[in-house]
Amino acid sequence: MTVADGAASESVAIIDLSAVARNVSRFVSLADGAQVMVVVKANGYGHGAVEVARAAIEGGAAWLGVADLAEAFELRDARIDAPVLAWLHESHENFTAAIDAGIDIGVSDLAQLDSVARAQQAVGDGPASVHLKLDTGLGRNGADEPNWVHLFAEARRLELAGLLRVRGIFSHLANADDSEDARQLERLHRGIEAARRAGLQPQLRHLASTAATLRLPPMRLDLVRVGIGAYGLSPFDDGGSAELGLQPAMTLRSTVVAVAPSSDADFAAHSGIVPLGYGDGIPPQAAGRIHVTGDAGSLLVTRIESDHLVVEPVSPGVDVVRGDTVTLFGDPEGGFTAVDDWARAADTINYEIVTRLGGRVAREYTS
Amino acid sequence: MTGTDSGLGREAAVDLVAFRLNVALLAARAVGGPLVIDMTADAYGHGLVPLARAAAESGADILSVRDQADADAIAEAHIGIDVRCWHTRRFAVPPAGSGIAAFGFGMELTDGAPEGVVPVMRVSAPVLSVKRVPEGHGVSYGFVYRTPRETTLALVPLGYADGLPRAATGSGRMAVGGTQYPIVGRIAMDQVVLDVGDAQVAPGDRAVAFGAGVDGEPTAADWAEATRSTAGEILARIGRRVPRRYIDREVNR
Repeated sequence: MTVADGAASESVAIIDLSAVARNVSRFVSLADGAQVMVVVKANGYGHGAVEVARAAIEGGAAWLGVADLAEAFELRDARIDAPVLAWLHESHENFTAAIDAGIDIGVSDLAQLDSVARAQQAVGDGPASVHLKLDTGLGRNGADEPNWVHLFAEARRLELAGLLRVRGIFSHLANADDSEDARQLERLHRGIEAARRAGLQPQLRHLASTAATLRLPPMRLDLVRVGIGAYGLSPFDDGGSAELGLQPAMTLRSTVVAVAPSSDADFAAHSGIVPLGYGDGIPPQAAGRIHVTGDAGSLLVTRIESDHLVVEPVSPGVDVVRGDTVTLFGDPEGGFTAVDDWARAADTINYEIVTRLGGRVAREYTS
Repeated sequence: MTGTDSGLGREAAVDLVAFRLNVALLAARAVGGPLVIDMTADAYGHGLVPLARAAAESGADILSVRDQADADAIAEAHIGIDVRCWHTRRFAVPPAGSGIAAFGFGMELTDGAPEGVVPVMRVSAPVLSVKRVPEGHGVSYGFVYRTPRETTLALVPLGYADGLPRAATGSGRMAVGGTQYPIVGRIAMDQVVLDVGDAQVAPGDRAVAFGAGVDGEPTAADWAEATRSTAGEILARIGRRVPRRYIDREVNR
């Protein structure tokens, strides 16, 4: 076997947890009395769910939100005992472990409501805590309007039987445009009225995610669900983090581990080889369209392969040498390429850039 | 661990039998040099160690990996094969390798896979829910899709966090029961919506994002074509929220 030199972790995603806490506390003040749920699904948008969850609580988050139960269990296993809501389930999910772990369950239909009731009987403790999810236009999960009356009646029956408590009613915005969003809010209010007529008393009505929390105060209701903003990134096409008073939490850094003769020998003497590739989640579509920061200045990313990328200097007289540090993205206020720049270069959104960062890239936490 | 898994039944099934046959086929054709298998990017998302073992047993001579950590993982699993890290070797002497043929594909978008090799990975998840909606119903963020007629929408818990490229919005497809349906509306972080028309699709039915292409499902090459990418990227980007399940007809070691 041939043994190569070099340490294993030339690449690291540095997560600034104090930035997460500050971003969250900014949303706490913006929310103007509404509670803040920080969404840590998809491994905390690639930042690390457990670490972000702790920082979020420190920043004032009252709730944590996840998609599926496996993600909720990960938080409980890390002894995070804050309220957690999980909202994406199989139609006949077994909720026993979720109820046992004190996880609030987002319920979209009668079958799930029934599964919750049966699981609660198996657990035998106090009532299970559910949030009923209404589809107000997004076309994904959530109950459709014609089914609301049945869902509310059955939920009330199970409440009276002591099996569950409807703690919340919620929906998810399409962020199509302001008038569509307003229509969704109107539908949610209609649903809440119908729920009250059925005898339910949901304390937490929630609809807004980061975008609506920032720009549409009437959407804030009792609780806002903040995802991308907690990580310091903007949900909008037309503005960066700083304009929103947010600080990007992730910096992606690597090292030039080898140099090769440049393909553009007139200009740059060498290309640098950086051990991060599309297998780590770096989008190859950005090749030739994105600059990163080297020790001696700006570098153009010329190729992105499975497990490495290639950089070349863009200023005459600058060269790359083995051992140079390369910052792929970070806080643009610090002079680094922004996650937003990568998103533009790869024709996608900042969410996908950070969320896709693979498990083989080490995470390092600072506070 | 608290409770049961409940990762929503997402799965990447890795067919080691197919992989062994691919490697054996390439080994039989390799003339005048060692057969180098590219095992970078966690064996293109298939899982380094199980694939390294299968490759070593099926006629590969050299495995190409990124770094010492990869080489150590193979050594610690007691897999006896020559492993090369490109930190020292790759750019001095590029290995005359087989691209990603061992995983069933050609290297570039325009390359066909060598004759006889078949795709190894199949990514699927159960349909979580279905809903009948009228004409003009918006779907997913921004309502970039509205139903052209009354139809049935099926929700599948695979999104870009799981590795489906968001760029496949408007072109990606999945198969349910051997029939392909379009993904409609924006591909989201955790989920996509299929427009299944009037088909009898029910919760629990498996939706296949890609596989070998022999049961009506798309292949990773189809996804690559839809996103100006490569099959290698589509395979390598399948995320850690999708558990790998290894299929092997041989006795468990």
